[in-house]
Amino acid sequence: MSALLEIRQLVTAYGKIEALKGVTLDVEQGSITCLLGPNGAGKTTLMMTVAGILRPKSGSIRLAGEEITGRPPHAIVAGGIALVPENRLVFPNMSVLENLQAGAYQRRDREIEADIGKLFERFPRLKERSGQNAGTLSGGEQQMLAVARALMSRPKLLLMDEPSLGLAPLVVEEIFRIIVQLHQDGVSIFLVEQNAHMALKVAQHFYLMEQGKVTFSGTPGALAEDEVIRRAYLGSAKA
Amino acid sequence: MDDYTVSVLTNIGLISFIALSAYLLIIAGEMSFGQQGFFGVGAYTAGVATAMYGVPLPIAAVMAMGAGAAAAFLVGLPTLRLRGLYFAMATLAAAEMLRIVFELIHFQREIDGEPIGPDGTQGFRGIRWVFENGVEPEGFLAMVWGLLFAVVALFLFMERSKLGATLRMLGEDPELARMLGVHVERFKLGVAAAAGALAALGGALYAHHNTYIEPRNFDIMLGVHSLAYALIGGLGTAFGPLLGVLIDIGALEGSRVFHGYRMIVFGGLVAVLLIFRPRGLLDERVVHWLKRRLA
Repeated sequence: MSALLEIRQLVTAYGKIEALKGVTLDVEQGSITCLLGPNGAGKTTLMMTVAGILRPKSGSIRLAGEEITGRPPHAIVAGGIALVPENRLVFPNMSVLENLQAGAYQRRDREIEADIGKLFERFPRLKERSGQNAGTLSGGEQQMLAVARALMSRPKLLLMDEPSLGLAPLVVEEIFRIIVQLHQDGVSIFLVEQNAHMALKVAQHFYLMEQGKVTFSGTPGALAEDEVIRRAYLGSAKA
Repeated sequence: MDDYTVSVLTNIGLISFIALSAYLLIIAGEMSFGQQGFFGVGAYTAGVATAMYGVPLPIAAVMAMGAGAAAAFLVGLPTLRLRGLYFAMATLAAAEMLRIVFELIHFQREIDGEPIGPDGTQGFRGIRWVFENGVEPEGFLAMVWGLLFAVVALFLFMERSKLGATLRMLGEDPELARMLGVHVERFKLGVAAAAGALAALGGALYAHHNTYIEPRNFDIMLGVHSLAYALIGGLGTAFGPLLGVLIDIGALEGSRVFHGYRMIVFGGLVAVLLIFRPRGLLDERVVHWLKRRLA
């Protein structure tokens, strides 16, 4: 069976500079797949290309077997991919509730309210703050809201770009608990992370990207075994 | 009501249309310094229709809105790709181009032995539909405010709807809105066209209130004022720009307390408010608070 997301020889360039130099990777249905890599490796570029914000120069992206390469963002969202962007989490002057409704922008069905109710059960803190402007939430709460908002589009695949960035360790643990929960509920997740320690505990498959290329692909076990990666991402101590 | 009061109130109503036009674009995240151009397009279109071709004002007003929307759409095509300051400059340039076009138009017809129609910088006189059809100043005032309230009601309805939420998404973060599936470019063009139509409706009524228009009625000062009205009055509700107009024309000009110093007082007010209340008197917080109070 083919993977949920198949990326083949993807090249994305900013002008003449290629940020992705032929990336090939798979995200399996129902898995948590994690993309590691240093700053500037092209991780965010990859996310933005999959989400349709950037247009690739060549290569292909397939979602559930369907070619989605080069489609505009609204078509990608309609196709079932939701992005939790890095650093650009919420609409600060809109309430928490309005932010959630914004996530359901393309939906026309009658279950939007019910879905908001379910998300409020999962994230009670968002419920407490539903009338509050999203900009007044803490960093962790904003990240939760961004995840909840992405879920409002009922995605087949959730893209998360560094969800732990800039958060306190306890909050990072909470975010990862949420990721595990989503996984248990059957959501497929493609996660970009620099926090390899946390990612090792949750993901089933890893890719390492360096300078626009995938340089490692394997299971958590293989990742922890790899001497180079261990030194670069997990510190010198045995993981 | 004496004639002066009626005239001031009518003016407040008329200018409110262009203030709402600027407001609509601001909440969608764009500062246009060019809405006066579409106000002018509306004034000229409706004036030509009624004074030269005997079209009834209601139909002429609809034609003006169509022309205003079309002009705003065409200006929007290249300019809406620009951001912030560049968009502001481009819209200002577009409005100035329109004003110069008004200066170049010499298009007159002989009506009752008199040439009627736009005559370049000499202006366009004899837009007398209101008087020829026996509409009293009070009647016209009621018409202007009736339309204005219809527009405000439409805004209030829109602000509660998904459309209003989408506008605010665009205003806050167009890139995030794009990631959530909003077709940003198409949406902004639609907003620009609607704002153009709204300004043009105000212009059409303005021409018929004054009976005389000339290109310099539609210069940069009108555009700056319409932006300032929205920013002073507040961006939290469609009543904001109306409050802005009321403060400027009603209190400052109407009362004549500050006569020669009106612009200084007005400019100072804008400066002070931008520092202390950057989103105006009726900003989102005040509006949320008022809603809770009223609920």
